[in-house]
Amino acid sequence: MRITGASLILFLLPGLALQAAAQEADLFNPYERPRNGPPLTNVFRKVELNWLFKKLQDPRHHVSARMPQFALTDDEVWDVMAYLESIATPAPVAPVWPSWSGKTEDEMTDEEWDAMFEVQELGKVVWRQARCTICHSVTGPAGRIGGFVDLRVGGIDLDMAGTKLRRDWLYAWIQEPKAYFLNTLMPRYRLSGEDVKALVEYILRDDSFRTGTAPEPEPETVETWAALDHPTRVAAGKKLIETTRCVVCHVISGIEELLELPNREPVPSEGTFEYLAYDLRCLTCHSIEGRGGSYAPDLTTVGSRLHEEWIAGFLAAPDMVRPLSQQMPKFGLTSEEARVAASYLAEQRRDSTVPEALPTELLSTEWIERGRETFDVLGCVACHSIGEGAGGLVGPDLTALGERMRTGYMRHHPKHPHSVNNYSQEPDFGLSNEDADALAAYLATKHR
Amino acid sequence: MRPRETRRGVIWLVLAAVLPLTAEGQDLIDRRQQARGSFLATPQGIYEHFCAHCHGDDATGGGRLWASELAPEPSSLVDTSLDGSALVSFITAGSAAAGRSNLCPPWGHTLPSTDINRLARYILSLRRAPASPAPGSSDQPRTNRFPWLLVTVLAGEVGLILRLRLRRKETANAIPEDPAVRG
Repeated sequence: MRITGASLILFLLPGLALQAAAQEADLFNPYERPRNGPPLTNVFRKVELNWLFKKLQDPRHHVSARMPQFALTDDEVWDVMAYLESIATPAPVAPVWPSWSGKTEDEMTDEEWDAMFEVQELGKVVWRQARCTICHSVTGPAGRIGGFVDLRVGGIDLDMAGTKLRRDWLYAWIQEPKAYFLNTLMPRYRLSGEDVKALVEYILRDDSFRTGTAPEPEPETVETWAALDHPTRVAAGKKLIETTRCVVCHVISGIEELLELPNREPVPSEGTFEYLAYDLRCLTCHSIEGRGGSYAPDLTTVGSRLHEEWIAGFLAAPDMVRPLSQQMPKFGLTSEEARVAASYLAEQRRDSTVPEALPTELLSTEWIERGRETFDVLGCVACHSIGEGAGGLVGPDLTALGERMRTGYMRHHPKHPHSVNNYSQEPDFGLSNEDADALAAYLATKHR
Repeated sequence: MRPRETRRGVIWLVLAAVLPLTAEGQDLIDRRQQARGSFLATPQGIYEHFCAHCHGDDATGGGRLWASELAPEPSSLVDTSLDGSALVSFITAGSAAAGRSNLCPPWGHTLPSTDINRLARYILSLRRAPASPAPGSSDQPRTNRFPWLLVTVLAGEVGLILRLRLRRKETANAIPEDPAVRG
């Protein structure tokens, strides 16, 4: 058999065309970042010194860390710390904390304790509404919870956050994560200063964040800290960091030129969906055209599934859709931001195989009645509830489905229940076209 | 590169380009994607993903939070009296086809039959009192043992024979390579 160049190109062409289509959307993929470790330039502002010492001495001290064991001697650890201290830049202006914030609970007066308790309770609410446990895990009284998304980076458990992090840094971090770590997966929540302060108080005081053993500073350690800025130590530390190749994972100023990587993603212009996806790190959980995570629903064709108004309302104030799965975090988007995202998703993310809307003749009483029968016969209530009747909680409530879902997709979905989510628990009933149409007519009508 | 190697390379290239477009290739890709959902790799994973909402992780039924309001309540699978083939057809065609309520949907269009068979076997293994074999039957353990030793020895033999044959072929091929013959 002779294979000519022309026939080869003909064979390859469809594959190349598919490749080109896949690259079309220019969205920030949080999983494609150049370095996996956090930057260390200002680590002195971030963590308590005894914690940093312990971490360098024994990286496995932290539960989910991926840092290799470098077997540094205590003296070498001091050298590295001396260099890290020498490169730290001045801290941004710190917020004003209440007078009791530095005290332990025993040192507080009763009034101070009451004030602290109130703030801490608010912080707990913020923590829950922000759904921090989707990514972060903590070990509470009921055992380990959270960390549901496989982020493919280590060190995101907060077991020791309460003993490790510095108050001012934590405040600045939650306000503006990318100011400290440009390629972080952490979204920027639109929280008020008071909410962030409350969240900081909750993290620094609650027992869930104090599970790990906090290394106590010893007297001679305190003395060594005082002498850290000695030039010989700084030079030795720099040498150690260079030879240990810390810059493969971390950004460390003064050394990063050893391994120059594009550290700055092109920031999309504000007021676009691309900017929101970059700022909120949507693709940590959602995916679009195969890029991003698999924790939350795929958004590639969401415009054919959901109404634009519903998406906008949901993004501004996320509500429950599937009662027993994790809910979307409350990012605190403005209605303008929610509108921008909704119009992009509704207009750009379409699937041409999904019909636009139901033909009007399907909305007749006979079709709706037939749909009701189909719904009953199939036993859909095992997973869905509708109207007043009782039903299962596995799938979404279908009472006001018409407000959320486009009618065309109601017709498409029962016939192709796995077209969006391969692993959906919804069974394929092998429905006929008429049954799917009747079901759509029934679901499109209001039930309350 | 010799022409034969080039041709082989081209054939591989063409195969790599065409494979995703064929039905079989698509099937292969689908199976790979399936494999990524490691929670569906074992029958227990399939059970936990599709069945445990209603029947519970321990298969005692009752519905837990997800389906506790259903009437009738999801049944216990550890007390089921169905045998293997009845269970397979129950899962495939749903509870309504078996003359019960319609709340357990048919899974025949969703899961491949191999998965349904494995699932049925898994559910039978959860049964409280094993129906068979009768206690004291002595041949049960012996049949379960796979003859690993025999397989290993046989594989070694086959490998040896293949190697010998390959070497013989090489020596046979070496004769025409002789410059005198070629010239």
